[in-house]
Amino acid sequence: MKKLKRRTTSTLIMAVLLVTVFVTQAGAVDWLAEEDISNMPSTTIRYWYYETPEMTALGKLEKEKFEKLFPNIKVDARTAPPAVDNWELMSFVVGGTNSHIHHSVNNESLWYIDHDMLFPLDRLPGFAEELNRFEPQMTWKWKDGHSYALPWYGATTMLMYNKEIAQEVGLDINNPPEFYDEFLKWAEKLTEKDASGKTVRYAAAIDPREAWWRFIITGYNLYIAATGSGDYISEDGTQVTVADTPLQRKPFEFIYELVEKGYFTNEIYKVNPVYGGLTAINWNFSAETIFDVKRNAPPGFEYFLGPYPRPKESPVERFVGRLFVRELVLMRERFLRGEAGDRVNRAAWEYMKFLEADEQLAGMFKAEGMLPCIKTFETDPLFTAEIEKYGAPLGQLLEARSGAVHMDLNSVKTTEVQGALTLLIVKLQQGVDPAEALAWAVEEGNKILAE
Amino acid sequence: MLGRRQKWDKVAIIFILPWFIFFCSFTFYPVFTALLVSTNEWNLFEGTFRWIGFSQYLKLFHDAKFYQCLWNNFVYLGIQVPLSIFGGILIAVLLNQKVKGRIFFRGIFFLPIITGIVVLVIIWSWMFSAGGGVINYFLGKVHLPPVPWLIDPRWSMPSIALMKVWTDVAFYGVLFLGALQGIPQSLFEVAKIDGASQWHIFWSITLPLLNPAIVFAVIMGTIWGMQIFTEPLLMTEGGPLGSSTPLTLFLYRQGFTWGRYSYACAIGIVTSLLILLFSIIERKFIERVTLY
Repeated sequence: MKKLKRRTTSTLIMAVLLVTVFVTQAGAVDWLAEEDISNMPSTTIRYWYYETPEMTALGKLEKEKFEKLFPNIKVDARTAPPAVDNWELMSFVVGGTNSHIHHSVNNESLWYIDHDMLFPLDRLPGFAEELNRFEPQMTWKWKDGHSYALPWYGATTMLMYNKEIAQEVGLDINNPPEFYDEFLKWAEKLTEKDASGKTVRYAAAIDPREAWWRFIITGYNLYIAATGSGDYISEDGTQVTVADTPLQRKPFEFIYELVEKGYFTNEIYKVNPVYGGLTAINWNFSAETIFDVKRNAPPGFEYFLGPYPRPKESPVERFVGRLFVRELVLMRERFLRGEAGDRVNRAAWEYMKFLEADEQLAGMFKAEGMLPCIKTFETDPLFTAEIEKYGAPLGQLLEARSGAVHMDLNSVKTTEVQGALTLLIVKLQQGVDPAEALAWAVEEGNKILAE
Repeated sequence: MLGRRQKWDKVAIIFILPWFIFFCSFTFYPVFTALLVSTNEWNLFEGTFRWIGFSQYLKLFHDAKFYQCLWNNFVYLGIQVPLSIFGGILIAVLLNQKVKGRIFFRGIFFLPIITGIVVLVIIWSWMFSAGGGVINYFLGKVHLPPVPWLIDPRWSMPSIALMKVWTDVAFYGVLFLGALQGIPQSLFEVAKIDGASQWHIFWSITLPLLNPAIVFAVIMGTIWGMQIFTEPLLMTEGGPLGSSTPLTLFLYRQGFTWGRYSYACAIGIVTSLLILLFSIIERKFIERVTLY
């Protein structure tokens, strides 16, 4: 009898619990699937503005605008701490203070995916339409069948020549050099020595400092222009392939030759040396440089652009450089669970879509020259009026961007190998024989990959 | 009596407590964690540790980069500490003279200390420019060849050390000036009456009585020298070819660029022990050669 009573009581409790769970669930909203979040209970998301003053000012305006559109969503915003990537970001992630929308790049994003830090965007409403707005070339496809990022801005670089110097030494500014032999002739003419034999102007400067990413600026474009590919690691991820073929070795031999002949300096400049005529070529001209010229170049300073030189045997035509895509990823809410966590992730997605809307992208382009990755960038009047203001250089950059190679850093290891490749360039600058320097870089890179 | 003592102890504890909390939170706990992390593989997200023993220390002692960075620190210390202290003594002696406008000069010499490090780095980078820098300009004026200050592996660390000499001379100058003014004037007057020369007075009175301040300066200079980080990071990023990478920058890159926390902690622990060792040796040595 007692047993029966106990069983009845426990059955009743179970039933009550089940009914409660059912009723609660039936009333609950699956916010992750919800199209409209205007009736979402008050939710706060975190966002870090891009570090520059212009972007911070723009970010503040965007936050205000978004909070007017969605009064129920509060954006707890601040300027991003400096240089917070990968491991530096961890203290913020573990402490629960990181931005829910992170300005990322493919190699970092893959690392975040490996650590289960990103929310898959394809699980969120409207993702397919959103993705469809962007140039496929600039959209990254992720390895596990999910999409985790939307491209934010895409940049490529070219060579910028000081027009006055080039004209002064009798060079045809309408035909900048394309191949190594032509470039060497130009470099010789652009380099100037005084009566005592001291070089007073170099053709170009390659910064000798050692942050891992410097290779992307100093050697990677030449490597891509020579080989037509950004790959420098074997498909199985075990070997550095940067010196496998004569064509792959060419750009490094070329840098060595330019330094050896005294055309390139490894001086560290704090201001673009092309402006003052200390060098004649800027190795890393981007859309942002157009703004920099306006701010920092002397009045009347004029320039023209050219491609990264390549060997005659190169399989590529005209311009090939790297395409750098800054993307937005949704950093998963780690501390709030269940419905509260879902709300934060969903609200952050709404803010990400807002940041990617045409109006905000136009604001970003106007503020800092960051080129949006949307398909309509070169046709939509919202952008075209602004594009026209920057004239031919921007047109050339956009043309170059359409054929550029998406920078392929698909793991932390590939990033670390770039550290070794940066040192390879420094070795060449210090006069180390290219064969020896390449052998060192390959050995060092292979050690990193074997770890 | 006991009651009074107990009361005094409570008051003392109240006064010591803020420092003790600070010490436990920002010194003891990080050191303990660093020891723990250096011997464990740390999963940051799960907060779990897997014992790996002293493998990171063994790896460190077989890492050529560690020895290169240690050598870089020695180069820095070998140039920066003696020159700064020598310059500091010189300035202190000069500023201790009864000359017109000495308050003004004291202020001028103190300026480098209050100038922001980023500003200093930018100015000195310009000054060190191999092609158009002001230092090479003056070298040229006296028919000396230009020096590739920051872009040659042989010169990069000495250049950073020279820049720091300029800033630290001011600090040591103030330190030694304070010590100088603490020396009883009667000693100098007696020496003068006895007919001692200025040099003799300096060598036999001033320098020996400055010894405690010199011991302090050498030990602190060594500790700060081993901690040098911002200047090489901003001026050379540790290059060219690692020639200006000190141990702290090596540690930072291993930990925060490549995520090798255990290895970075091992570097930190070894660096701390080296600083401790150097400080003990220096103290023993300088106190032994004391001149009075």
